[in-house]
Amino acid sequence: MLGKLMKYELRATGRMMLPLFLLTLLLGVFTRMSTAVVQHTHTNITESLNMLLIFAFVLALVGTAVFSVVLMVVRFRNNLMTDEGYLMFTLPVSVHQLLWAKLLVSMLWFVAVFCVDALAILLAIYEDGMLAGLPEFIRSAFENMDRYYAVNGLLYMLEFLGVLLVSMVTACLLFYAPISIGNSFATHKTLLSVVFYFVIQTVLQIVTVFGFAFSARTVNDVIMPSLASSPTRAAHLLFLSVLGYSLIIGTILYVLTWFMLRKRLNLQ
Amino acid sequence: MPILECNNLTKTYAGVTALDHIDLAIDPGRIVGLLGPNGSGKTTLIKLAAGLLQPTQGQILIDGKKPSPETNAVLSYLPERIALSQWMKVTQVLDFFCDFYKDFDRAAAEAMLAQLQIAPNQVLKQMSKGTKEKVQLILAMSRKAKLYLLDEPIGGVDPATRDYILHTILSNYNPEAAVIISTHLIGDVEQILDEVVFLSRGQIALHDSCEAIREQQGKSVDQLFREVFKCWEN
Repeated sequence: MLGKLMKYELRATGRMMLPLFLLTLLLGVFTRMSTAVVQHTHTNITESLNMLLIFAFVLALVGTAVFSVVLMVVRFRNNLMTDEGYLMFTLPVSVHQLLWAKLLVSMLWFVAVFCVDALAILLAIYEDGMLAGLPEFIRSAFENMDRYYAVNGLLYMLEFLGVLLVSMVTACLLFYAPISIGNSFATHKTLLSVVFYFVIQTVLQIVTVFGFAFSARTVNDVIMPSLASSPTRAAHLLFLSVLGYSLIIGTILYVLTWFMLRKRLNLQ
Repeated sequence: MPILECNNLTKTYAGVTALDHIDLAIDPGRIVGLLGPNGSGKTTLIKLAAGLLQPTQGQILIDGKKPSPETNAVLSYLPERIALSQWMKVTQVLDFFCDFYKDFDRAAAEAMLAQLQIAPNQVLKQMSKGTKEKVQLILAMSRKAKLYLLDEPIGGVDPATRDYILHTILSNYNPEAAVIISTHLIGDVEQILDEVVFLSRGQIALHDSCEAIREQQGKSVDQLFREVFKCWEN
């Protein structure tokens, strides 16, 4: 059932994300073309047009990223907390499946935004032979990491990927949790969702500050000495610490969201 | 075994009691009218059965089980609001129901849509509220469920469509399934009801068969309702 939920989630969000991706890529191509024209003909019109295109292109790059976050929030609210919730919560699926479908599809769009924006930038600045050395560069980068720093480049990549994925889920839940709490009230649902967003942010900041204070000794005794003797070990520790922190916060927010949707659902 | 069972069921919202220690059992094969004035707890009872609310006290059982994804698979719920995604076409909504409900009869749904002249490629957003309600009712009634919960199914449609809806409910009658209809329009639904439950201020004021009401009290359900829930003294 999770697969089916994700299919409809992708369909509902894709109809907005895909045209944006197409627009961003097209603007990348047009920017490259207009830059080429400007390199050959220096007129006020071509230069102004080029500037306009670059501005629109940057706007599209940023806009796509911002829109993916806005869509993640709006989709959760509209599909689960408004009238559509009457259908979604009476499907033969669990609240866990409803939540994971939203989380996984949002993550997919975040990754897609990164890829499309990177591709669009590449298109906008493309020069002949620019990519010829890329495979060699990646291979040598990994080799050098292995040789000089005696670390496994792949392991770093995996740790980084782990941090990235867990952070993305936690970032979504930072919105899902307050929305689910705010909507459990009979009135002022949106206002209360915003209030709880700031309450959760404040609590997290306080916890983080206290967390740093309490772990200062560990940092001094374990990480700092190893930073001097073995920077690679310190980097691993740092990655794992961030991963652990995101995992704990994410788990708390997930359980909170699940509880509110399962036990305190209050659709109007 | 009753298809719907409430034991000491209570629901309060911020101190206000919507349902007050209700005991109720509905057997399969019955078409039941859930009747009562505004705020009597009809929608709350239906939402509890659909798992959209959690009881404050007591329990509600569907086919002997607490509301869960498992009971949702045998329960066809028609909410009083339009719960379908407005951007979808009718065919996409049919695909959605086919994907999630094993008991969904697509051919039956398409036949009913054709009877009501609703185009399959029409987007819901472009439809009138009444047409959306018809689509939603067709979807709910095209399932071979064990329990149908219809919350105000005829509230927003014209009298001709009302007749069609009641005909649809009757023609989908299954001796193993129960249909619970919540409505104010008692006169319109009375003809198809087997029994009625009168809810008053969160409590059951009456639970009897329509036949018994007519025979023993010599009144129609509509007349009895008007007497029980009279708003003023003449």
